[in-house]
Parts: sequence; C-alpha cells; structure tokens
Amino acid sequence: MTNTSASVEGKFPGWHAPVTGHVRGAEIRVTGLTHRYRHAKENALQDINLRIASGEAAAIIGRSGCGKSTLLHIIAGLVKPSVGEVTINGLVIRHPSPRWVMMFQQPSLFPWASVADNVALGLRFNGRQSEAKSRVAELLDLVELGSYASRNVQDLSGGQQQRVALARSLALSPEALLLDEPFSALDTFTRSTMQRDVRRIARELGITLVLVTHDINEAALMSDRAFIMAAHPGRIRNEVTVRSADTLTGAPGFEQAQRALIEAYEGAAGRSISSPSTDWTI
Amino acid sequence: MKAQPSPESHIVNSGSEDSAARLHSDADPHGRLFTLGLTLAGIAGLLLLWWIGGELIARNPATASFSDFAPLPALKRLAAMFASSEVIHMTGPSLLRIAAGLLWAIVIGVPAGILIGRSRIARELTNVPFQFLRMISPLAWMPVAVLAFATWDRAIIFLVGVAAVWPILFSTAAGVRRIDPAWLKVARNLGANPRQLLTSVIFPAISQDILTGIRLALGVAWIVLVPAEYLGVKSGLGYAINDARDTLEYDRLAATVLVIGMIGFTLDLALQKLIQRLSWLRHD
Repeated sequence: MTNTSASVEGKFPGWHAPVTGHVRGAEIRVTGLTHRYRHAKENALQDINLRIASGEAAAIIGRSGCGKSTLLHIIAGLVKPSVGEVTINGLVIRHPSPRWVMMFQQPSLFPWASVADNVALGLRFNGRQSEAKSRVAELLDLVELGSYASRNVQDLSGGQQQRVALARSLALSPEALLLDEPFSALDTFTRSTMQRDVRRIARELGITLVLVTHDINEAALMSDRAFIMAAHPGRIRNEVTVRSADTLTGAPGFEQAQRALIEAYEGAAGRSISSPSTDWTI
Repeated sequence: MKAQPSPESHIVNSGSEDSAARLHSDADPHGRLFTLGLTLAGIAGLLLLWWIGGELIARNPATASFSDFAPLPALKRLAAMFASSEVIHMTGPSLLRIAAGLLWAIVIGVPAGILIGRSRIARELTNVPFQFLRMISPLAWMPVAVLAFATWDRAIIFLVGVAAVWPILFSTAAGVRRIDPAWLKVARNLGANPRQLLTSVIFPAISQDILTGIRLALGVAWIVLVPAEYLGVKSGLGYAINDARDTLEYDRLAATVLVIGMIGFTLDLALQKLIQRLSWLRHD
C-alpha cells in the first residue's frame, strides 16, 4: 500500500534505463484459499498458499481444468473465494482494481472506439482523462503501435490487438499484471515476440507478473518461478525455480528450466517421463 | 506444420482470384446503373398501375365520380398543396405527435429493454405479459385512450407510444443480451463503476440495436398515426384524409396519401442512413 499513489501518477520511471533497482511491484500472498463454485460437487481450488514477491514473474501452470484460471480471477478480485484470502501489499482483495490488471486470451477491445480511446479507457474510468493525450502516445510507443492511435481496432491483426490490450492494461501503471493465457490465440511468431516484450516491459517497470498458462515454453521463457497445479481438486503440487537470466529459447538455462518444468508438470499429472527427449518445443 | 499448398494449386488460386477481382471491378459501375434502372422501373410500374386504376374508375359510370383519384389530378393537386404550404400545415401536427409518441416509447422502452436484457428475473417475469400486450393492436386501445386522456392529442400520442414501445424494448433487450461479457469484465477490471459500465460499455454496444428498434417503431407508429388521427382532432394527416373524403375532394385525398407515403419513406431512409453512419460493426 506504500508506493501506490506516487507510482501510479508517475510516468514510467526508469523506462528507458536498463533494469533499475526500482521496485514497485505488488507483493501477492494467497493464504488458505479454497474455492467451490455454486452447485459444484468438488472444490475447484483446495487449500492454496503461495507468495509472489514484488517484481517477481510467477507462472501458474497445469492442465485444463486444474483451477489455475480460477485462482487468477480470485487474485484479480473478479471472483470471491469461498475460504481464505488474497492480499496484495498487505491489503485484502475484495474487488477488482486497476492496480492489478488482468489480461485475457481475447483482447476484448471495444470495437466502437479507436486504438487511443481503448488505451485511455482506464484513465477515463478513474477520472484521469486529462492525462490521456500524453500517456496514450507514450504507451503506444511502448508497445510499438505509435502510428496506430486513430485507427479502428477492428483493422488490427490479432497480435496488434493484444498489444493494444497490453497498453490499456499498463495505462494506470499497475503494480501487478495478471495474464490468463494471453497469447494462446496468437500465431507462434507473434506469440514469442509478445512473450519477450511483456517480460521485458514488466521487468523494466518493476511490475509483478502472474502468468497462467498450459504452455511449458511460455512458463520457461517468462517466469522466475513456476507453480505447478494438479486437478480434482485444484491444488499446488510443486514449485520450480526457473530463473532464465536470458529468455532465449536456445540458451542452456532455458533447456534446463524446460526440463525441470516438464518433469514437475508430468509429476502433477501422475506420470513420469520415460524419454526426456520428448519434443516439447511445439 | 500444415501441408504447404502445391505451387500449381497456388497459381490456380491466385488466377481465379484475379479474374474474380477484375469481374467485380468491371461489374460494379454497371451494377449501380442496373440498380438505379430497376428502382426507376419499379416506381414507373407503380405509377402505371395507378394510372390504369384511374382509367378503369373513370370509364365505369358507377365509379366515375371518383376519377380524381387518378395520377394526373392528384399530382396537380399535390403541387398546389406544396405551393400553398398546405402540406406543411397538415404534416406539422402529425410529426409532432409522432415525435412525442416515439420519445415516450424511447424513454420507457430503452431502460426497460436494458433491465430485461440484463436481469433474468425481469426477463422471465415480463416475458408472457409483454408478448401478450405486444400482440394487441394499438388501435384496440383507442376507447381506453379516449377515456384516460383529457385531450385528443394526448390520446393519439398514447396510441403512437403503445405502438412504438415494443420494437424499441425488444430490440434493446436483444442488443444487451448480445454484449460480449468480456467487455464488462475488462471495464470492471479497469475500475469502471456501474454508471460507467452503462455509459461506456452498454450504451455504445447497443446503440445500433436501439436505433434499429426506433426505425421499426417509427414504421409501426407512422401506420398507427393516420387512423389515430381520425379521432377528434382537427389537424394532421389522418384528419386531412377524413376531411377530403367528407368534402369529396378525391384529388386531395390521393395527394394526401402520397404525402403520407413520401414522409414515411423519407423518415425511414434517414434513420437507415443514420444507423449506417453510427455503425461500428464491420460487415466484411
């Protein structure tokens, strides 16, 4: 709760500089969290405890139906948990807030508004329309869509739309970016560019990243640490430190991280890998 | 990896696309001329039918006194009515009644439509009563309207409103139900309050549905207006029709019918153009 107002109002301190020591990301704690959907027969999530440090990039991975997306929605304040609580910087989450913004698989831009108006949405909702002009230009440069401000979003490609969604999410200088399989609808090439850019932007701005994915490579590329979830009921089965200093697919650190993740992933699914040379590079 | 198309198939594809494009660009100006030609032919056909009808009426001794219905006297009279601004005098009150009736229908229909689109309880509660009421001809309310309202004008506005409210209400509700829930989730996540959800998401998303509802409502209201104006009032197009019948001025009657058609057509076209201009949806 300490560094909110000052940092929210600032304009990307340290953006052009390389990684600075500047820390402003949210610290996320999930304590004793259990969730059951109405009319469901079993818990979607069972006794989840985790802590994500300020500025850290955490991945939550697991097969479909393991509750990873539900967990992210609860962290975002979009779903209320049955038991337990989530705190961000010590504050209990009860509602969604522009301080921790979620990005979805579909960019869901407003088709009746221009690129610039879509990016300025959060500013408008929070009574900061006056900042929109300079802020939007800055954000569009950041996502490399500087010349697209007045375009109709329906004319943009899927990757460009997701970049607009990223700029929209960053407009209010969030302390955490919560990503729900945000790139899975993109083609391979666009996806890897976006993965690298989001990771870079988050690191340079000091934003805490929580990434939900079923893509091992994405977790290895983008996260410092991965939580591996198992289903029925959804729970955290394992935790793997990834720390790929340089997120290049070819780097030795990457392969090591990838191997560790695959092992943990298969372990959570109740299997062991017989042949480690299985091709996971999609 | 998807299978690469063979080079041959690629050539065949691009070839056919090229020729299709060429055909299209060649055909386009002709197509527009063709459309214009057909439109004019349609109008000419209608005039021809009218003329034949007029001739038949004139030649039959039993109906000869109605021969002023024919195009020539009617169009002459129409020109005179335009020149004497009689057209403005008789349409002005009608347009005001339509505007007032539509306004009431919008004020009631849009919020009710949003509520029904958003709330399952409201939807299921109102479904049967509304579908039932919708099927009652607004003119059936005429005696009730006459009893309930102090002036003839208000009774007519009520009847127009009753006719117009249903298309607006149902079109709005259908638009609300088609709103992508992700838009609302995104807006909530960015800190939108309920009022901002309404003004920044719901209204822009359903603007076209509301306008389409208004366009349909206008069509129904315009049809209901003329018989409603047979009631008591001494102004408006419906009154003009009745008056012309009573004074046996069949050329004026036919000319008034033309005015009703032209104004209705123009209003509908204007709304159609407005909808096209405000549309955010890409149809390609």
